[in-house]
Order: sequence, then structure tokens, then C-alpha cells
Amino acid sequence: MRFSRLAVHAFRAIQHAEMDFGPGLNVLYGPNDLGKSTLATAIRAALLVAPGSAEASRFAPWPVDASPRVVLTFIDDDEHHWQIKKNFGSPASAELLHSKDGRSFSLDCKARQVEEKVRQQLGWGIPPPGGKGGPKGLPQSFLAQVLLAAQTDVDKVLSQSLAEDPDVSGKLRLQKALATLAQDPLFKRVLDKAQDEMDACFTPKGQRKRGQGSRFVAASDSVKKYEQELTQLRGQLDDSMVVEVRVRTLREQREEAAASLREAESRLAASKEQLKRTAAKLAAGELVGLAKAALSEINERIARVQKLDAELAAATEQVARRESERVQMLAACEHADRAVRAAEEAHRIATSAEGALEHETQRAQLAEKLAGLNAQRLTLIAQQGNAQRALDAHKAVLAAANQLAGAVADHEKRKLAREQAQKQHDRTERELGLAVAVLAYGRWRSAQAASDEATTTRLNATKLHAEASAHEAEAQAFESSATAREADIARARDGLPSVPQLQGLQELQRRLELAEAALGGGLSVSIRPLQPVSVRATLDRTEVFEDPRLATPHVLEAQRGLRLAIADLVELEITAGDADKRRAVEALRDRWSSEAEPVFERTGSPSVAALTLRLELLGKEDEELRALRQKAEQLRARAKSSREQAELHELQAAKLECDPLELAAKREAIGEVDLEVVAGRFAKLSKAWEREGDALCLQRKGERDAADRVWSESDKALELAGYRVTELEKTHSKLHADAQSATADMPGTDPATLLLSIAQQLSTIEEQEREAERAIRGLVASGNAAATSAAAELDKAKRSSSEARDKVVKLDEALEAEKASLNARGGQRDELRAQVERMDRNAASALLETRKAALAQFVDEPVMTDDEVRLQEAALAKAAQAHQDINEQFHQADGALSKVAGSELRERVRQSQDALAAARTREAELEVDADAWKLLRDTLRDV
Amino acid sequence: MTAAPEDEIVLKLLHTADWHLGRRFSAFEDDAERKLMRARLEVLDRILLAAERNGVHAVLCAGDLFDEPSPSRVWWEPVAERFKKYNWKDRPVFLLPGNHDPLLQDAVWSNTQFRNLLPDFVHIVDRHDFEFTLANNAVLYAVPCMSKAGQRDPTELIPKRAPGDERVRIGMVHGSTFDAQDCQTNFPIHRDAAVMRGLDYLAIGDTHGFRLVPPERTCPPTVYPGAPEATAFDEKDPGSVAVVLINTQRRAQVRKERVAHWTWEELTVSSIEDLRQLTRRTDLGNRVLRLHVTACLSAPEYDEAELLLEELHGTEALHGRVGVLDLHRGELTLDTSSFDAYCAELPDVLKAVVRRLRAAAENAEQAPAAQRALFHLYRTSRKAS
Repeated sequence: MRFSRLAVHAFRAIQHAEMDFGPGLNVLYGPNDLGKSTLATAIRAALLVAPGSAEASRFAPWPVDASPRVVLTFIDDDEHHWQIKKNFGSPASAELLHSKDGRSFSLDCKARQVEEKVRQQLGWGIPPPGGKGGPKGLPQSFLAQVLLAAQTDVDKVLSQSLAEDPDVSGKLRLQKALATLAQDPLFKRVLDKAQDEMDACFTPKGQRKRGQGSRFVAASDSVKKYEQELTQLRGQLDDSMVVEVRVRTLREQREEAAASLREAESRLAASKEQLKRTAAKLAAGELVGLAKAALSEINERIARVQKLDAELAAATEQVARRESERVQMLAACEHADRAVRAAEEAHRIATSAEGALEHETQRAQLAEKLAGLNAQRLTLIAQQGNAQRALDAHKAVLAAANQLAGAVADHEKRKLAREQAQKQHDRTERELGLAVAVLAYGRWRSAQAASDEATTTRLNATKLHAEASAHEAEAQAFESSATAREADIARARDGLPSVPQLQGLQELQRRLELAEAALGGGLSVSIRPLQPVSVRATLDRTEVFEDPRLATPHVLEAQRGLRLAIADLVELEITAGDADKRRAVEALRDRWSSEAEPVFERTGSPSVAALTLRLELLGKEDEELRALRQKAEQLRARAKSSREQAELHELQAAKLECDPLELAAKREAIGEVDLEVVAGRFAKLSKAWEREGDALCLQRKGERDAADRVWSESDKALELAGYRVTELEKTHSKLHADAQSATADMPGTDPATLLLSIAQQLSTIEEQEREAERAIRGLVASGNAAATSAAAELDKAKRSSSEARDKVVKLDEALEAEKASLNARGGQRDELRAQVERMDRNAASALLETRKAALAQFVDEPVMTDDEVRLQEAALAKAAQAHQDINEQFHQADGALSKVAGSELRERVRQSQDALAAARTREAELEVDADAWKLLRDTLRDV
Repeated sequence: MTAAPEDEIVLKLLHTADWHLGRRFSAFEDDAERKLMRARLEVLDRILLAAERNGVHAVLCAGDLFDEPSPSRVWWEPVAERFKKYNWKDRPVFLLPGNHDPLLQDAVWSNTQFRNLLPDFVHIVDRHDFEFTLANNAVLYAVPCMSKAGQRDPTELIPKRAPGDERVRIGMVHGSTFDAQDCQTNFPIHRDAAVMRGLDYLAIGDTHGFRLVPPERTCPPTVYPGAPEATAFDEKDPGSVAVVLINTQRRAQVRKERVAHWTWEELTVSSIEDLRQLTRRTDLGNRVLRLHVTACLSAPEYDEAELLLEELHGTEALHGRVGVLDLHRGELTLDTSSFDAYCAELPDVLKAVVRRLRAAAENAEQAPAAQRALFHLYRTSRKAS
């Protein structure tokens, strides 16, 4: 048997105490007068003292008027649970309850049977109470004394003997226990082994051994050692981690600073590059200016050539006029010569008839010959001029033919370039069309997606509206239900006291119960019916005894009051306590009658507790009502939220919605292109497709425009080359016609040979003329003497002839001068033309275009200034300084890092943790094993 | 990797690291700890024998050879004695300080007694610009750890291959590769260090398992040979050295060669049959076995399990079947529900004891002690009867 629980109430000095017992030895300790001995007495009372005995009167509490009660629970050898309940006051009572599980107990026996059964179970040598030889007062036996002696009864323990036991059960029990030890070696061996193990681990007082060599101490020391080591290592590790984190942070900062530095360097380099490009742009501008100047110079020279051509044409006409005048003057000269000859003939005739005749004949023949020579010479001169012009014309035709061939080749080249430019243009046009189609496709797709999303959003909005309506309907239903319940609650609350009133009633009830409890002292009424009679009694206003035919004597016991009705003859009311307390109770009962009972009557509630319960229920109803309203509010709020969301969705849908016409227009905007190709191109674009598409379109457009410009320029160049070919062809044809017309009347086709022949003929004729003149002058000299009168005429004629010749000479001189001037201008013009041809206007134009194109590359180029570059240099210096600063900090941290242990320390911490865990496991296993032996030993001894 | 013909090999190396001499194994029992500590020294014999057997031109020991910078004499003296047993003329041995045994002022590397004990062919890498000409004009560059932690890549101190330099170039450092935890502060080694420095083989130490870093690159190899004897259960592939063969084209081939005595293994048994099978294994003698027993056994099985565990672990009188047993029996429980069947022949008084202990075993707080008490009762009563 072992005790499991003790509850003591109003037992001597103890008002109330409860305790649970553990297996094995239980020790109560505490200061004096705490009630330890009283608890031991209570155990003794529960086991050995009958409630109605004289011994029981010693347990009454002295400060208060109450019934001592003890409840002791114990477990027998079969693990059955027993509970002894004893009330040592009035009315005295005893009950023994039984349980198999220690939780639900059932009544086994009452009153005297309790003592009998307990003493039987104890087997302490104490006979059942009452009867012959039964113990009076506190039962005594050897085991009762040994096991439950009071602390002052040590002598009695030693002097007690089994022989004095009133019953043999104690003796038998001891004999059995000793026999168990003596006769069952197995039990003894197990006990001995358990005891040995216990002795190894525990002190005689049941404490774990902590002395030298104790396994607990070794295990515990090991745990402590590793705990200390781990604490120390963790401290070091924390320090190490601070340094490591700083190093990592600084490393990151250093990398960021390095990146900033690189970025600043890159920006500076870009700025410098930009500065160079700005310089290049300026240089390109200057080159364009130079090319323009060169082209304008060429143009100017061409203009000068053209002006010289015009002047040459005028001068040529002037020469032609002069030659015509000379011819006329030569004719006049011839006329004057003929007059001279006539005068001479007249003079000859006048000076000598025959001689004169002879002379005249000779002179006439000579003059005729001279005139014929002169005519031949003039013809030859004219032929010479024609041949010269024909030669010039041939030269011009050759030059024009060369120019024409060059122009034709240039035209072919331009034509090829134009075709290539056209092809490039077509290709860029197609690419542009495709890029535009991709962009349009993207916009169409986007509009389509937006349209789909708008549909989905609108559907969501509809769903949300429906949801909101459902919530509102539900909220309305809750509200209606709440209103109905509110009315119900109001009806149910009608007539019920308020909470303060109820509290007043509760207070009144408490005070009445206290006052009635103060009446306690105990009442005992014995009824001894003389014949069967109906008896009804109310004990302490609660417990009711009723017997319609009570025939045997019966004792009614109450604490404070008793109301007894015997048949319908008499009703007795007996109240305990002194007069003051009874009056107080009466007053309170009057108040109860006037204050509480009307309420009970009005509300139909039997008690304050029932009222309290109803009010609590109503309070819960209120709470539920509030919850219902709150729920309705929540539903309304959700409905409102749903509606707001629906409106947002509708707004969103309206924003997203796309006009079908617009959508169709967007589809049409894609054009008649292969959609798969467009979709494929579109798929290659990223999320920012529109920006990329726009950029692509711009790029394609730029390429198309560039190709367009090239095409246009090549077209113009081709047109210009064609125009030049046409002009040169015209020039060539004209020159060719001129040359042909110039050589049409010429004997032979080679003007140069003709010119040489004419020059030779002229030379011969001039010689013949000089001979004829000499002959004439001879004839004249011989006829001088005969001519006197005719001399004047002759002089006059000669003067006229001389004047005419002077004029011819002057004309010749003027003609020569003009020819020289013409030749000089022709030479000048030819030189200028050669220069112009060498300067190559087309090349100059092309160069200008090239340079313009080169300059066009810089059109969008931002202009970089030295100041901006200096700003970038300052930023670079700042970044370099920041990098240097962080580098210094990093090196400092690196120095600190070399003084910590890092990963090596982490490894040691891990080892230490493992060691600590192992030490703790070993300690726990030791403790469990030791506890197991202790538990076994205790259980063996207990049993 | 296909082995190159022997006549094409111009350089043979043995690469080892992480001996961790003096390492404590406090999580184990005292005897087991001593076994494991001694094993770290004993494996040196097998490493040196492997060097001789393979006829290597040099032995590279890449750091963490001692577990702390200043180990006691009992650790460095046997190391020197072991080297002295060999009279190698053309086989230099290079000892590199690692982060566990850095080249501090009072470290073992500065101990003149230790240095004087070492034979001439053993060289301590005690400067940053360590350079040594090996056989066939090959050259070794090595950089020691000067502290327990550092953020600088030690390979940065190895000179780059100069144009026209056709020699076989070997590097040796100690640190963490890019993929290791905490590598930033534990001498980080760049993943392409061997390529960047123009090395034909980069010998490194720190991680205790055999690894090529990065694993996909075999030329030029960067290798952790791992610890020759494992130090923990969670290490992957420890217990080897790397034998390195470099051919005339300067291509290095790496062969892993096991030298460890101990194999570390972690095992869980969840039934008495598992435990019986474990006991029947014949390879337990060189095992460091962490055994988790998670089984709920009847009393006879529990008793048998105790005997089997005792057999595996050993007693004061008998060696255990397992070389080193790290037993975790926290989840070994006694099935008390069937205990009655085993105590039918017990006297009533002991039956009453059994009933009480079983009742106590129902209480979670008392269960471990109560189960153990029942087992003691069972075993003691069996022995007695």
C-alpha cells in the first residue's frame, strides 16, 4: 500500500491542505507549527479513528466552528485506488470509495464498515471496531506505533511489542514480509543488485553522490567544461565574425568604389572621345568650306572660260571683218595700182611713143602678170585661212570626241551607281515597311490583348457586382435576423433585474448564507414514532428528508436549522445558534422575502443562480446579436468593397477597351505582309517592344532616307552626266559639221598638208611678184624722161596707191594684232580650260558631297567642351580618392582579420558543440540508469 | 583519365594536406579519442610509403599539417622521426603552413628544435616567394599562410608564366576555393588561379574531402587531396592522397590513392534484426561508426540488443567489434505492453513490482527510468534464475 493523496479540511489548526505523494520515500519539511505533525495525525485519523469516537473530538478546529474532514487516497498492492472520506464533526460520517483507474471512484462501504475494511487491508494487528474486545479510543498495535507514531512517542516505539497487539494480523504481515525476503532468493537478489547500484550512485539520504570518483561528477564536470569552452569560443567567434563581416562589407564597398572609379574613367574617356569628335566635326565643317571654295573657284574658271569663248567668238568675227576690209582695201589698192599703171602708161605715152609703146607693152604684160600673181596670192591666202580654220575645227572635233567619250563613261558609271542606289533604296524601303508592319503588329496585338483583358475585367466587374449583391442580401438577412432577435431579447429581458440589482441579490444571498453558516453548531432531533406517520423534514433549508410512513426511530441532524412537519398535524422549525445571530438571519431572510422572492416570482426563476444564468444567457444573446450586426456590417463593407472593385474594374475595362474599328484599322495598318514573318520579327523584341519598334522604324527610316538621298543624288548625277553627254554630243556634232564644212571646198582632206602647200605656193608667188615689180620699175625708170605731164597724175595715182597700200599695211598690222590678241586669248582660254579639266569639277562636287556626308554624321553629335571634360576629370579624382579611402579602410580591416581565426574558429566551435552534446547525452544516460535503479529499489522495498 | 605512357612522364608528385596532427575528438569516449588522434600520425607512414612506391619526384604537403600553430612536442617530434627513417636524395618534401598552423612567430615552423630534427630533403615553406627547382627543370612555387584568416588570394603571389617559359610549373597554397563557405575571409582562391598563373598543377589544402576545383576542369588541375584520415562524419571522400603524373606536353593526370585506416560511417538501425546483421559484418574493425538505434523492443529483444551493443562497443575486458563506436541510443525503448509474458514465472512480489513499474512507465516523465528499471529487473531476475 502506498499513499497517493491527502486532503485535510478544518482539522485542528489546518483550515485546508492538499498534497500528492510520490513513489518511495516522501519527506515533509518546514518550520515549526506549520502543521506537519497535524498532517501525520490526519493520516492516522483517516486510517484508524472512527468518526463518531471520542478520539475524533480532538480534531475539532479551534479558531473556527467547522467539521474536521480528511480524505486519504492510497493504492494497494494490486494497483487499485481507494479513498477514505471521514467527517469527524457533526454529523460524523465515513465512506470508502474504490477506483481502478484513480479517476472515477464509486462507493464501496460506509460508516463502520469503512473501519473494518481499512484495518483488514492494513493488516497492522488492529481488530475491527466495536464488538467484544474491540479497541476503545485510538487503536494501538506494534505496526501502528512503528509506522504512525507521533514524534514525541519515540520511547513508545521502542517499547512497543507485537505481543501486545490486539490482533494477529500485524504479526502475520511481518512474518509474510520476512518470509518473502528469506524464502524468495530471486527477490532478494534483485533487491541486493538494485541496492548495490543505488549505493554506487546515491548517498544513504537518496542524494546523488557528488564526491571524488562519482560518475555524476565526472559527467557533470565534462558538461561544464565543454559549456565553458563553447562560451569562450563563441565569444571569440562573435569577435571574429564582426571582423569578417566588416571585411566583407568593405570588400563590397571597395568593389563599388572601384566600379565608380571605372565608370568615372569611362565617362572621362567618353568625354574626351566626344571632345575629339567635336574637333572632328569642326574640321569636317572646315573641309566642307574648303571644298565649297574649290568648287566655286572651278565654277568661276568655267565662267571665265565661257567668257573667253564669247570674247574669242567676237574677236574671230572682228578678224573676219578685218580680213574682209583688207580684201576690200586690197581691191582698192589694186584699183590704185591700175590707176598708177594708167598714169604711168599715160606718162610713158607722154614721154616716148615707141619706147613708150614697148615699155607700155612690157609693163602691161608685167602688170598683168603681177595682177595674176596677186590674184593667185589672195586666193591662196583665203585658202590658207580656210585650211587653218579647218585644222582648228578638226582639233576641236578631236577634243570634243575625247570629252564625249569621257562623259559617256562617266554616264555609264553614274547609271550603275544609280541602279545600285535604287536597289538599296528598294531594300531599305522594304525593311522600313517590315519594321512599320512589326510595330503595327505589336500595336494591333497589344490592342487585341487590351481588348481581351477589358472583356475579362468587365466579366470580373460583373462577378464583383453579383458578389456585392449577394453580400448585401446576406447582410440584409442578418440584419433582419438581428432585429428579430433583438425583439426576442428585449422580451426575454422584460422583468428581469438589472445587473446591479442582480449583484445586490447575490450579495444578499452571500450574506444570508454566511449568517446561516454562523448559526452552525449542530442540531440533532430524534423522532420516535408511536405509529407510522408521515414525516417531512428540511435540513439546513436544503436537504429534505421525507417518509410517508415512518415507523422506526430516526435521527435528523442539521447544522443550522431544521423544519419538521409531522403529518398535517404540526410543523416545527428549530434554529441553532445564539439569539443575535438568529436575529441577523431573520432580518436577512425578511429582506430575502421582500427583495429576492418577488423577483423570483416575477421572473419564474427559482434562484439567484438561475437568474444569473438567464442574464448570462441574455448577455451571450446580446453578444451574438452584436456579432450578427457586426457580421452584417462586415458583409456590407465587403459588398461596398466589391462594388468599388467592380467600378475600378469597369474603369479599367473602359480604359482598356478598344474600338473594333480602331482595332480593324490597327490590323489594316500592318498591311499586306506575311504575318508569320512579322510575328517572328515581333517575337524577337523584348517587353519594351514599342520603344524598340519605334527605334527600329526610325533606324529603318533613316536608312531609307539615306538610301533615298543617295538614290536622288545618283539620279541627279546621272541626269547631269546625261546632260553633259548630250551637250558634248551637240558640240561634237557642230564641230564635226564645222570641220566638214571647213574641209568641203578644200582640195584634199588634210588641212595641215594643204597649209604647207599653200605656204610654199605663196612664197613662190611673192618671189614672182617681186620680179615683176622689179621689171616694171625698170620699165618705169626708162620711161621717166618721157613723162612729164603725166608725172603729176602718176604721182597722184601713186600716192593714192601708196595710201591704199598704207591702209592695207595698217589693216594687216591691225589684223595681225587682232589675230595675235585672238591667239593670246585662245591660248588663255585653252589654258583655263585645261586647268578646269584638270581640276575636275565633278570630283570637286563629289568631294564636297562626301565631306557634307561626313559632316552630316556629326549632325546629332552633342558638342563637348573643355569645361565639361574638366568636370569629368574632377569627378574621376573624387572617385579615385573615395576608392583610395575605402582601400585604406579595407587594408586596416584586413590587418584585423589576420588576428582572428575565421573558419578555423568555426570548426573548433563545431567540435566543441559536438563534444558538449555528447557529454550531455552521456550525463543524461547516466542519470536515467541511476534513476532506474533507484526506482526499482524503491518499488521493491515499497512492495 | 587515361594514363600516359611511362616514358612520357617528366614529373611525378604526391600531394597531401590537412593532417591535423593533435586534433582532439572530444565528442568520443577517451579511448576512442586516443585511437583517432594516434591514427593521424600513423597515416604518415602510409603516405611516405605511397610516395616511395610511386617513385614520385617530390612530396607536397599543402597545409594544416598540425591542428594548431604550436603543438606539443609529442606531435612534431614523431613527424621528424618518421621523415628521418627515409634517406631520400632526389625526393624533396615540402611542408606548407596552413590556416590552422600559420607561420606565426612562435609557431612550430619557427621551432629550431623541430627544424633541426628534420632531414635535409624536408623543406618548410617559410616565405612568400618560395621557389624550388624540381626534377626535369620543373619548378615549384609555394605561398604559406601567415595568419589564421585572410582575404587575399595566395596565388596572386605566384609569378605568372613568362613568355617562352616552357618549364613545368607547380603551385602550392592553402585556402578556400570560390565555392566554399566563408571563402572570402579564408584565403580565397580564384577558380581560374591555375590558368591565370600559368601553372600546370595547383596543389591546395583546406577541405577534408578529395576534390577537383572546379570539378569540370581537368587541365590544368586544381586539387584538394583531402585529409588522409577523416575528422568528421559529414566529410565527403576523405582518406586519400593525390598522385600526380605530368607528361612531356605538361598535361597533368591525377590519381586518387587511399591511405586511410579508418572509414567513418553513420548508420541507423530500427529493429533487432538490423542490429544482428550489423553485428555479422566483417568490416567493422576499421570503422568509426556513428550508430543510431531507433527501435521499440520487447524485453528479450531489448536484452539481446544490449548484449549486441556491448559486443559492438566492447567492454573493459574485451575489444569491441567496431573500431570506434559512437552510440546514440536515445530512441531505443522497451515495449512494456508485452512485459507480462516474460514474468509469468516471477514470484508474486516481483510481479507486483512489475505492475508498478509498468504503471510508472505510462507517465511520460518517468518513462525512461521506469523502462530501464523494468529492463534491469528483467535482466537481473533472468541471470539469477
